[in-house]
Amino acid sequence: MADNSQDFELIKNFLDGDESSFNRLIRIYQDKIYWHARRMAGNHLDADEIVQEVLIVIYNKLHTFKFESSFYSWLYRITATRSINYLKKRNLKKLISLDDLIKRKDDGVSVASKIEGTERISMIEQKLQGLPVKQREAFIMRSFNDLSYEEISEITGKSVGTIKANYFHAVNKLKELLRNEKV
Amino acid sequence: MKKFNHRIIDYLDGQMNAKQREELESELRDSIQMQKEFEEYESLFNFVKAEKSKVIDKDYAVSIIPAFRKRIEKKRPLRIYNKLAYAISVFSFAALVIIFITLFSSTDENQQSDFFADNSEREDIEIYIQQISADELISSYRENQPEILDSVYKNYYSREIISNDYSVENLFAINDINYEELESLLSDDEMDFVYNEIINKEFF
Repeated sequence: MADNSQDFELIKNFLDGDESSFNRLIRIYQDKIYWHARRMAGNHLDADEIVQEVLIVIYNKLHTFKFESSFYSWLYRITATRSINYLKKRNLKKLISLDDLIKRKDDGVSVASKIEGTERISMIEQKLQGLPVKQREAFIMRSFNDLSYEEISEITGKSVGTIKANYFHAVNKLKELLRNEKV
Repeated sequence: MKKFNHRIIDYLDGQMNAKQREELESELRDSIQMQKEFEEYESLFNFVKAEKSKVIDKDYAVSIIPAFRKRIEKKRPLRIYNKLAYAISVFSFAALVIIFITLFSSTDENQQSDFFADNSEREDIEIYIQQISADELISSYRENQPEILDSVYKNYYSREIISNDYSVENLFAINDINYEELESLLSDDEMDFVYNEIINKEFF
């Protein structure tokens, strides 16, 4: 996790009108935001869209940030929320899009397995798309971002017990999916 | 005791203390089935570890920030335009309502005033007619324009006499007025005219 004092200074500078501080802040956390969005969405284009939405929210809401908690937790909460909202919207679009249904019937290939731009989807990313959203979120936060259960609980607003349950379910299911892949 | 698979996850996740780790490792040594199970979990964690090392292109922010700023800029004027459009539409609507009300009320008032004007005029006339009796009219004419009154009487009585074959007696019977009264009402010329008409009627 990044140094809080550095984050706070950049935030204050930005709030004082220094736009370049915002860019610097984003550069520090671009990896975290992008990869969380990418693993949740399963492809680069959707991840890009989520990142932009997150940046817009941060830009507009940064004045509401209270310098009591870490910026990273605040940022992560926004990223997690925007990712889930985006997935909901995407699922809704898929549900009502006839073209998408036809495509799925025609080739039977998961959207996540396709090459998106220059970024190839890895097998684990592909398998992540087979998990329910809440389990996927818990797994990404815990495994990829090394967040403790307590931190995840703080970010998502769920109890530690729920987070643990989601995480264990996710690990077990992914293990099964990988086993099937090998067979 | 926790389920075996939960313990493996805790083990691979670094959530066990040294004693717990030793216990699990000991169990694994004794069971091939457990070892197989452990390897599957380990394989998953290795995938994740490999994936974790991925980093995004350093220039990603360079590409995403301008796009995001464009969206911010796009949103700003849109909000202003939306507010402006809303304000204009509300103002236009209010103006239309005011104009409509003004027009309607003024038309109504005009119509009402016309109506009242017509009515009051008629009423005035009616009152005037009611108030001015024939006697007053006659006396008014007698005072101001006696020649008109004379000609009216002249014509009136002439027509009456001619159309109804009245004799002098009959003529005097009309309106229950006597000769003296008639004479007092008519001028000499008129009386001459009346007599001439009677004579003409009676004798020629």
